[in-house]
Amino acid sequence: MCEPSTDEVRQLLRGGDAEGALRGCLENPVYNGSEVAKDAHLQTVIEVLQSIKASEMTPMLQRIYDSEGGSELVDVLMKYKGMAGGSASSGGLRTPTRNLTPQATGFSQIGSRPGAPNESTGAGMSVLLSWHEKVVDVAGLGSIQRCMTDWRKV
Amino acid sequence: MASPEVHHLFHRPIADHSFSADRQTLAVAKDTTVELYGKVGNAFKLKDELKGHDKTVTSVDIAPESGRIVTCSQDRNALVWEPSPTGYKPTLVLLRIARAATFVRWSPSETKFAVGSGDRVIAICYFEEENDWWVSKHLKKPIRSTITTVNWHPNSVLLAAGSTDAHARVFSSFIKGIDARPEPSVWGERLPFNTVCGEYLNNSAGWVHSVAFSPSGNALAFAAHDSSITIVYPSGPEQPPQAVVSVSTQLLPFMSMIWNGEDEIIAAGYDCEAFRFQGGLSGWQLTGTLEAKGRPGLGDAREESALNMFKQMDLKGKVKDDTQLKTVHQNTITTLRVYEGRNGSVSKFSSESHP
Repeated sequence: MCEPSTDEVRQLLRGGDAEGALRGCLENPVYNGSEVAKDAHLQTVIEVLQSIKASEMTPMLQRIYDSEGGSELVDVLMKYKGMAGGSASSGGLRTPTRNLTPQATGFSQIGSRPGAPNESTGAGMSVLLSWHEKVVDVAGLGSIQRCMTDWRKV
Repeated sequence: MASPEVHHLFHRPIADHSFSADRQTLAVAKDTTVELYGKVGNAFKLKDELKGHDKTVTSVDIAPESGRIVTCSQDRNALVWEPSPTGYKPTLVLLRIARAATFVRWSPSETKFAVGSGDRVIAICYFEEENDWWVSKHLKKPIRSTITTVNWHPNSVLLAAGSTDAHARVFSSFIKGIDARPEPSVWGERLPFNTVCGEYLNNSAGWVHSVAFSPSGNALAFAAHDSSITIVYPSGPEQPPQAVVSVSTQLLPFMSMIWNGEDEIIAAGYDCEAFRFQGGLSGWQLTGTLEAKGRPGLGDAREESALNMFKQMDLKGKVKDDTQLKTVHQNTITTLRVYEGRNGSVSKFSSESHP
């Protein structure tokens, strides 16, 4: 699978086309890439999601879901949600926390514990969680079911 | 749709059920036995018990013409129960499998039956006159995992099977001396035993729970654990299918489904109620549920007073009591069967579930 064009997505985002950027992310999920590529893509997805206003979320999801082949895109989005919603319980789903290097604050005396979430991941997680709720509203439990069934993890 | 008849038989999960052709007898798999219920007035009364398996019975099927009952079980055996004046007489079938038998169905011709198993084979069983014995031939290739379900084509030669390797397959189970040569169809012309006429995978590779040929046998539908149903229209041997239509639903997965004519499918499963799909070559859609919501007796009888609201919030932390299902079945529906119908259209069907 080819590397999704992160630059293109960023460009769309800068141009104010958040929906296009989100579609771009979801049309090219990294299934077979290396861990590094997957993490990079995850960061892009979180960035895009963070840029979308809360009031825009449901209408945008509905538009994507209703479009041709859109339900699959929403299912892909659900896979990212799975990491936020089910990282504690569901085995196999990745958590975005473990690969982030703690940022030195200069005040820490014992250094950060490995794996402890820092502020930016916390925000990423909460954005994924709030999106999770909206995706379930639009795509139903079936979407969670497909996310859990599918072997292709993001 | 008329309101359903509900027969509460016992407080145990029902693995499978089957009605006799005259609909006077109902066979139900319960633990290690099969219970036969006879219709008395409007109720079903227990009249016989078939005891012969020593592990959970997984599937049961009554042949409509001969009245023979075939059962299979986790004890790796299948039994054919022959009706006689003194009751049912069991005959053991040589399955030659090393894992549980999971699913059994008579072919429409009633000369064969197919047993799915956890041994990655489907045993096609038929009666050998010279040895006075039921023997089996194995469909092996290219099954990679447990067979969860099978369904016969109307010609009694083609067999569809669903498996936990996420594939729905169509095999030929042609047995010389038992079967007449089948007419050429969209599935193929020459069909020696174990010809794989089709192999289909769904998008997210979920377990296949149910497979069903359309009444004409020219289309195949399968339901999988990713809450989808897929309908395949083959175009001919060695050719890509004309159309593969997949419907990803917002619901929980379906465990069983039946066709009603060529353009309607009724499916039910973990949502505890039956849903209707309609469509054709160009596309399929979920058109709704078969149950009328808000039947009397199930609606909230409690008055919606402020006192009641705060009481609920105090006791349960929420205003509405959402622990009750509004469906007839209160647990997963495991099997749907045609109860009454003709020429491939269904006017009544039966379903069963865990208690």
